[in-house]
Amino acid sequence: MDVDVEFEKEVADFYQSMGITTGPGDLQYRLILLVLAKNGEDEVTRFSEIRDYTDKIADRGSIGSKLKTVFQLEGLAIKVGHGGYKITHKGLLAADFIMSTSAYYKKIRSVEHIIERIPA
Amino acid sequence: MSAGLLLNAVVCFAIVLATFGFALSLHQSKNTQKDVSLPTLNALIVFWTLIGVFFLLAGFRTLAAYGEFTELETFLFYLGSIPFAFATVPLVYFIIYVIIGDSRVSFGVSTVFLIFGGIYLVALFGFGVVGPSTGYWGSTYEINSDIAINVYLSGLFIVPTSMILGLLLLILLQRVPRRLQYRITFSLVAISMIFDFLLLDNIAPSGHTQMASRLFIFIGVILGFFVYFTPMSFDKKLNGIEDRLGIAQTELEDFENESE
Repeated sequence: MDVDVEFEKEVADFYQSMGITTGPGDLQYRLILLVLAKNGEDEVTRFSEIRDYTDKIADRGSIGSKLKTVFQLEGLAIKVGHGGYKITHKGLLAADFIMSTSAYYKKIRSVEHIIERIPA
Repeated sequence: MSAGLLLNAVVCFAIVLATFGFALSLHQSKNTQKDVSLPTLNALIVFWTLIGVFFLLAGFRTLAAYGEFTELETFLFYLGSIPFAFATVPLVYFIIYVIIGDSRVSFGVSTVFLIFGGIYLVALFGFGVVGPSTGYWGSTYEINSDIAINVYLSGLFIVPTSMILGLLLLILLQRVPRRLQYRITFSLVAISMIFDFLLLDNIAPSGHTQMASRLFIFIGVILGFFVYFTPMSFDKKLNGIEDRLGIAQTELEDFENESE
């Protein structure tokens, strides 16, 4: 599973335009969750690995804060050692949900493209 | 010589006027279209023009039948078979491009139908036709080749009709704005209707059937025209002009004087 930052930004913008600003509409949340899910329940994800994806869109502080106030607090990820995180079962469920929002976005876009190609 | 034949020719020329007018209006609307919809718009213009050319020749053929110029009538029938055989090509291009969005794939698939059309014409010209058999309402020919009929039915008729129905289903199952859904659905229904009755027109066993199918084709063309160029009064009734132009405004409540 590869994480495409540009695509995730597009999806987050789509949900934000519908007034959904948290969860599917939050790009930081999407990226952190997808990077954690990429490594799975057994592997530790380094904070630096998360930053490889998030540095383009947010500073280190806000990502660290998001990890603490959302992911750790809600039990989506647990901290392992210094600067390491492991996704929980609950986190994997959330990742599944985020992936389903990407699939929904793709479906909507494909229908929109079909409609755009029909002369108005 | 019968008044029925003259009426048949009048219906043909009415279809010609409607299709050419429609194609011209579509051509004039090019500036207002998005770039992505230009290939499909061009395909529609070609489709309606081919239908117009077919009925122009069919109209003259009916007049030739009225004047009992049998040789001219047969010549016009053969000539009319050319736009008839290739009407599928722009239609297939339109459907494939709408679904896939790739011009090269659409071109490739429509080339297959161009070949099918060619095979149909080779079979038709090779084996010839039997007729004309002139009745009160119309003049018909019997195609003297099973190959031509089979190629037309299986390759040029069933596949494009299934494609239209598939696209129709795809649009109907999606949550798209009602106004847009009406436009796309009726446009496809009009094309499908014309395509079906075009087949019936060409293989009609009698003048009655031919006349009836031409009337339905005329209705189909008018339906197609009104889908794209809906009268304003009807449009307003359908969905509200403000919605269509995207200028509907939501009145925001004033919270200034409310206590928190």
